[in-house]
Amino acid sequence: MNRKLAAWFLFFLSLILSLSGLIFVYTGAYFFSLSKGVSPYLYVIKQGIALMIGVLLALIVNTKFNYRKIARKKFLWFIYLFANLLLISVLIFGREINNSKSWIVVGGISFQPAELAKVLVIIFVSGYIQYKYYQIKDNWAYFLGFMFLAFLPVLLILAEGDLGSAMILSIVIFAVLFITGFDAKYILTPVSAGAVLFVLAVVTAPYRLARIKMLLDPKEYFQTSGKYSSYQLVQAFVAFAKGGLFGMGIGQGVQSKFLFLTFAFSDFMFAHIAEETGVIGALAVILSFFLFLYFGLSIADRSDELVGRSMALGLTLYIFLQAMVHIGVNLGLLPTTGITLPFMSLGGSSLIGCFLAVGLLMNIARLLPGESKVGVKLDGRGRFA
Amino acid sequence: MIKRFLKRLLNRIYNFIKPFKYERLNAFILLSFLLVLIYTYRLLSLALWDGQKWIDLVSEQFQGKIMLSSEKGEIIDRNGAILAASRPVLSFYIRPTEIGDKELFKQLLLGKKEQYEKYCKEKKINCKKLISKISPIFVFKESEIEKAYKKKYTIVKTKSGKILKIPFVWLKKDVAIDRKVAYNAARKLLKVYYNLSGENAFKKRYPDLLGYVKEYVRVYPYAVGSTVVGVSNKFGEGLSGLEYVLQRMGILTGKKTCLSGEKDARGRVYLGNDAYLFVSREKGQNVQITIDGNIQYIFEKVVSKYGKLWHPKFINAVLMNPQTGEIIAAVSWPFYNYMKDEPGRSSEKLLTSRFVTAPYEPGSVMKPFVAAAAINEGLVTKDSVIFCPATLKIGKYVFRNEFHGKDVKERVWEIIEYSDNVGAIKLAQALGKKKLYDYYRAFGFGQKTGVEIPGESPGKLNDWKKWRDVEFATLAFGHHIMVTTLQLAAAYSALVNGGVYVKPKILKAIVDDKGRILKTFQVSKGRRVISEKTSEVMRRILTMVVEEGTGKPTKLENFYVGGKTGTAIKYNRKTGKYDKSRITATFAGAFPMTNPRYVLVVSVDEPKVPKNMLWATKIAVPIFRELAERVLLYERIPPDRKLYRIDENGNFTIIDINRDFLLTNGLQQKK
Repeated sequence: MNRKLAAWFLFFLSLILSLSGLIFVYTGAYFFSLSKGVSPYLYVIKQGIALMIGVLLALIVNTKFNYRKIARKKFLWFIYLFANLLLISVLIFGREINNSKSWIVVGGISFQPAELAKVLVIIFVSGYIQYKYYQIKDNWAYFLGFMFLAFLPVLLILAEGDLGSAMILSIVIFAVLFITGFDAKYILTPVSAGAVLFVLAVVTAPYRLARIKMLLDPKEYFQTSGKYSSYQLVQAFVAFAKGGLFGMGIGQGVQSKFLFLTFAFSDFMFAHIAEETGVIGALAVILSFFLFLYFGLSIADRSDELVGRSMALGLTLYIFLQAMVHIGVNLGLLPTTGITLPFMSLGGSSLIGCFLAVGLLMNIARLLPGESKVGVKLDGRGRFA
Repeated sequence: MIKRFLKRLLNRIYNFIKPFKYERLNAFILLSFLLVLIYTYRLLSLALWDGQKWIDLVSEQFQGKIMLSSEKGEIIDRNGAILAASRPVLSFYIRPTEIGDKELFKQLLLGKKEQYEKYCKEKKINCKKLISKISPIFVFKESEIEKAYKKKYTIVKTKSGKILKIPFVWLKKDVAIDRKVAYNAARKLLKVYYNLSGENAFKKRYPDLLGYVKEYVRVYPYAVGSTVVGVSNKFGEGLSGLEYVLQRMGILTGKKTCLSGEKDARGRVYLGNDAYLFVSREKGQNVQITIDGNIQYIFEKVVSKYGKLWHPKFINAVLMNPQTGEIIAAVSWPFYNYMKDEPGRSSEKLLTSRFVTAPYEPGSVMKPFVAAAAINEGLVTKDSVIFCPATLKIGKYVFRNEFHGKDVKERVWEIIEYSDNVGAIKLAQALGKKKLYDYYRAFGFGQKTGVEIPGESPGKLNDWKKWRDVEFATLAFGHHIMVTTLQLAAAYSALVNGGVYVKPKILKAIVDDKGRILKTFQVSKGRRVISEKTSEVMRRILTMVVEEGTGKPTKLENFYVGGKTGTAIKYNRKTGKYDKSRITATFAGAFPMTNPRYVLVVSVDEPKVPKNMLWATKIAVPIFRELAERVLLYERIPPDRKLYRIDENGNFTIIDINRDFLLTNGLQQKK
């Protein structure tokens, strides 16, 4: 695929997703905001402002920046430091809004720095791999050093209590390592260690076990009150069921209207979309994110240098994985984590972060070396494709 | 070879479709595609074929339904007095687990002034005004609140057998407060509570810490007629009597409107837009019944008096209008007392309407039907002379002429007057088995009367082809046949009203709240059983029973009363013999006899009295007399025996009238 076409496809795809997201945020949060006693337009207006900022940011990054310059050594360390500072500042000054302590309020505007920090971490990781590629590849000590650097922000996110985001970020880091051609043992060892740790964490803590059990049998935990009730999950299932093939119509979703699906505009956005637009709308969303992955990966595919490839992959995967985890949670295939749907769920910081990623992807596509006009290239095995 | 070929083919296909040049990127897209496929499958299954289960799960536990059990209609008596009605009450509940500051909430409920003053100071409003608005619901005692706090949950078992804890406890039931006042008061109180405790109502799953439900309790203002009217349980469902029947017929409850709507997470039910406007809570229809509350009260008092005196198994008394079949009073002692008893298993027996549910062997009260049949068929006239021997042997059984004790010649009306078994048998034999059976059926025996009282028994009358000779003989004086008190009343009505059998009737009309009749219940057309002339003869014969025969204690000074006693000794199943110490005493009669307006049947089962008292004359007749006297007094019926006249000069004269109504040409000496 033509790289420029891919870039613009990416951009418009995200724009369409976010614009339709505005509608669903409005319908999903209408009664919630009424019950909170605020204007039903408040969330949409906030989201709209964030969208404008995000689109502007993406266009600016696309035209005025150069991803190679961002990934220069000095700048890289600055980015890394900034990301960690943001995360630490959340831990210190964080305010609890909507049951999660990830907000910072400056001058009346509240935002979630972690959303920006995650994108910065991905930039850092891909840049750092380019610089220390051979050292990391051949030397365990360097590798461990890299792991420490990469996972420090992950640990900080974990300290905030956002297990889902931390998991997604770690998967993205390993995926970047994987795509840059690292030996399987480098990747498999920490992955398996992480998996063992995860299992241990689940088995030792009864509440985590309860969450897994709840996932396996939502019926049983429907009535249990408190944190480990599958109440919301079952309500999401009901939303899917009530939506059926064509949906109940936009603005007609009962589950959000009657506050069964309390977070229809954030954690359960996908279920809300499915209720209002049915299987067709839901499939369109899934397909859109798959297309996003495809366009993002084609940009990574075209890039012949390490930094471009790993950055494109990391940013694409970051958005795609978030979407997949969100949808998986909604469908009852993954434990509840509180991951929002990128572009669509309510959350200005997340939207801006996502559009920053889109801008970078476009930038990578724009600055790629030109393709040969002959259109015939050697593929990996030396055959003509 | 094939393997290699396949491998190469696969390779080529892969090379053709693979999207990226980096193999590891292809791996990513492949994995993602698999993930998307899984998600799609799950999405389709949830949305299209597996989702109903989750909808069911939700609806099972939070049914989005409002049952508008509209107010039940009233049951009123023939004069318009309310026998049963619904009264709206409020039942208050609290949610103890949702209350953060229980002490504060308790103090607010009890109406402690300090807390309210604190609130008023903060808000700068008039405290007295606030308290006066909330004060209507200061009806709870501290002990009640503590009890509710302790209970915490209401435990409910679902259909699937799961035990649920619902954060909901009844605080006080059946409080008589106006709904609007209670609504305002509860809302204000919650506002004060949320303000003082600093809790956020929106963060609670159930913000209605205190609430109420409007309910209706069934009340019985006159507290009479329990055996007819029946009772309802606390949910307003009829359990027995007319309460049950009329509910089954859907009259009293009217239409039960069930509005299915969506219920939100806070417990409010939202209906569809169109449902809201067009539903009016229609009260059930009022039903007027033929019972007269005052006469019913008289009956209950009198019957209880004798019940306590003799401790029989039951005493039934049914008063009927012979012309229309309307049941004016019907009582069965022991009966349910609205003031004392509670509906439930223990009171089940008290609520049985034994005058329709308990058939028994009636005894001699059946003899007039035999005589009426014989006269109606033209086999005999009332003055025909019949030879009645002292003993009559049929098979190995010997029947005795008990009153006379010797061979006598009697007229037909004397057989009834002296209740002569042998004479009755002779009349029956003259009729033949089939004719007797046909007449018994025509008088309504062996079949349900069809009155709208639940649990009616048809009694028992075997087919005539199965009758043995002895059985046939005993049938003439009311053995080997089971009848209910109401059947007897209906049959006697046919005997005296001119010979037409009318179906007994309890429901009169459906009336609105102002007493206007909306619909009268269909009166079934009667069927002629005996000719009018025979009926008139029977009236005179029955009058003679009271004038000179076994019913003498019933004789009233101003009225001609007619009737027939019946003393049936009961069959003992254990010994297989008739037990002379256990009897069923019956008196069935009508008054005033020249133009019968009332038919009254009294039956007493197994009275525990000394042996010389074991006669219907001593047991059933006094009850009959007392009831008849009081009914005549209450209804102010003009006497048909004596005429009281004051002439112009102020002289008071009493004239005997209707002297020729009595029969005088008897062959037997009066004792």
